[in-house]
Amino acid sequence: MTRDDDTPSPMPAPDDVADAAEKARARAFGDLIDKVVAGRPPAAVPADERALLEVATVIRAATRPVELGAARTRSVVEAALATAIERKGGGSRLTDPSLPVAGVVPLARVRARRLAPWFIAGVTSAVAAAAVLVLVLRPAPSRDVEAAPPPVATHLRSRPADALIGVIARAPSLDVAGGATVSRIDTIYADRLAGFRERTLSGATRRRGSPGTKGGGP
Amino acid sequence: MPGPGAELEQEQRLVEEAQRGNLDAMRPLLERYAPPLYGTVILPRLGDAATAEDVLRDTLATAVEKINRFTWQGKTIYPWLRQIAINKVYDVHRASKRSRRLADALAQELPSETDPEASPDAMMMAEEERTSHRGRIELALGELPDRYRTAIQLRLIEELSREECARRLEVTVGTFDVLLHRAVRAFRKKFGDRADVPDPRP
Repeated sequence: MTRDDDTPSPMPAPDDVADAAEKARARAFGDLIDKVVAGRPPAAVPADERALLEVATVIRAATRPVELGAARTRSVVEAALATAIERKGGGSRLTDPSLPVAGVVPLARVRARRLAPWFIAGVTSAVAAAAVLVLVLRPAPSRDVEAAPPPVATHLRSRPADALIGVIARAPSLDVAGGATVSRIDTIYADRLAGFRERTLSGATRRRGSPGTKGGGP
Repeated sequence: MPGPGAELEQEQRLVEEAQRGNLDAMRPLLERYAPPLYGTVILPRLGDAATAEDVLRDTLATAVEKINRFTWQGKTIYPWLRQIAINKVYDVHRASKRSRRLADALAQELPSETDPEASPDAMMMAEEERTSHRGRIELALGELPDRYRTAIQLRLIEELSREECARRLEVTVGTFDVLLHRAVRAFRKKFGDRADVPDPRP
């Protein structure tokens, strides 16, 4: 209740003359009562009139049976059950095939909406797991499948260097390994140079690509 | 149509089933008791139909949610539901910071669920409550000037049209509107002034 409760204004007698403002308020209130009596209570009512309208509704509700209506009852009950299930976290059994009522979401749809994110997450996780399994379990590429390089003819091969300089031991450090590599290259170069001179000075032909003169020499 | 005894047995069975986890068992009970809760407990204490429906829904939801707290004592579940509804009504009044005089006036007169004299029949309780409301309303009406009382009686209780009311009171429709407006304001003051009671919660 709003203003009238807190305003100790004297009540006018029934026969007191009403001014224009009071007549206007009384007419507006009469229109509101028309709607209430017709079963169409207005959704929005000015605060001043709302308090009086509530009094009128209280009088009517106390003096005559007020029907909620079967459809409204079912709608309210359905909404209440849905609300209770929501509050309890959806852990109970509700299987009634209720009729769809305007403004009320059927319980089956509420459950479906609740489960949808979990369903999507489950499917996505399963797909990702399957992809990982495929990657892990797929057969390793066979080396047999790769085309083997054609064998090089003997006359095109250089002389083996290992026999010349022997096996170079694995170096414990990079510097030593680098030094050993340079030393090996120098040895091979000197061997190749010696081979070239030998062939050139002995009057061998200048055939390019002949054995021991790979690339035509220096 | 089952008799009161069979109805009570069925009600007990439904309550116990709901307490075992099948909340859907509550549906017939809620559909049975929603109308009297709305018409005799909630709406007369609120006066606003839309708010009353909201409170009814909240009441039923709370009942379903807390059904395990209900102890069957051989009586209908209706008084328990009614007490939940009254508490909800007070929550609305408190939240909206409205004056509680009118609600207080209507909240004090009926026994609570713990009253051993309470009727075991829900519909009888609802009718008793309506009768009690009507008695209080008529008492307050009796303290109004005759023309105010007649205006309320014709328009709000008998639901006659404004024109018919004006004709019976031998005034113009505009004058009747003023009369009814003043009558409701006067009733409100009388009715509210009669109430000076504490919160009815147990």
